[in-house]
Amino acid sequence: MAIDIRIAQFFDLTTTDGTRHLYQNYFVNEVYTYAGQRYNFAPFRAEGSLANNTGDNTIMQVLFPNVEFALRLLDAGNGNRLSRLVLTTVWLTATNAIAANGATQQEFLVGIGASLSETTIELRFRSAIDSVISGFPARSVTRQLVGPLPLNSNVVLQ
Amino acid sequence: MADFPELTPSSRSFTPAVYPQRSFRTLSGVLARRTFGNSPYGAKLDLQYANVADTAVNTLLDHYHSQTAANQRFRLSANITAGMSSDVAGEVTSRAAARGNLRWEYAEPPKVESVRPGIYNVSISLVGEIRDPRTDDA
Repeated sequence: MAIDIRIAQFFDLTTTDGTRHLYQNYFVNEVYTYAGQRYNFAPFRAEGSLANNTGDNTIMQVLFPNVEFALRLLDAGNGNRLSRLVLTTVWLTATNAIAANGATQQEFLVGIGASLSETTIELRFRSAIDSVISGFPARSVTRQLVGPLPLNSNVVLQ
Repeated sequence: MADFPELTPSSRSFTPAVYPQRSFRTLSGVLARRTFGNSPYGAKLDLQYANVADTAVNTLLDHYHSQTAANQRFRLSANITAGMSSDVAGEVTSRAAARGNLRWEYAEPPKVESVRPGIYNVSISLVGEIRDPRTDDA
């Protein structure tokens, strides 16, 4: 017995000037139409966590080979600091069709920068907009705001 | 962008393309396999040229240098699949979309062995990579 796992990801990046860059990473050299949009092929890899039990705002990376179109993405997003990303993950059948009853995961992220190496370009994203500086907006947690404060450090955000 | 030289090999060995899959064994013993793309890649083709003359060696080495220096993949000439039925030749050239639409490059530099003055044995290893529509021949 072998479990077959096929996952395609759709990368929808909106850069500074409002241009949308649409890529998918499964159907090689094909323009794949998903949800009414045409996605070109790009061999990217997405990795990172999107949620944890201390709240969200965790970092996710999308790794591209260091090629011309990836550099254009970087440039258009001002170093990926002013871009926003919708990353959709879909599950496929053994015939590479989108599973009719499969789960679809969609994440909304904002760009926080990028890094380059001689072979790769890594675009980094967060799942929430961060404050402009640490401690902004200035608001402190008081008993009036949150009620009785816990006796230990475990805080559950709901 | 030159196709592989029109020289018929003395022998050849072909390994079909592999699929972009990674497997892991679950604790229960069941195998899980993740597929990352819909196109196979990495077919292998080994060619032997036995007792060929200087001109043939020159042609092969020139092709190796020109393609590798330009990082340019190429198509196989009809001589490579000489004697095969069209179906098998189609499998070897791997140009159908279902076979990855591959273009070939040198897996390693050709090996040239001198047999006697002016006569050589040449070994060539090729690997098939997915065609890049921006740079590779149609």
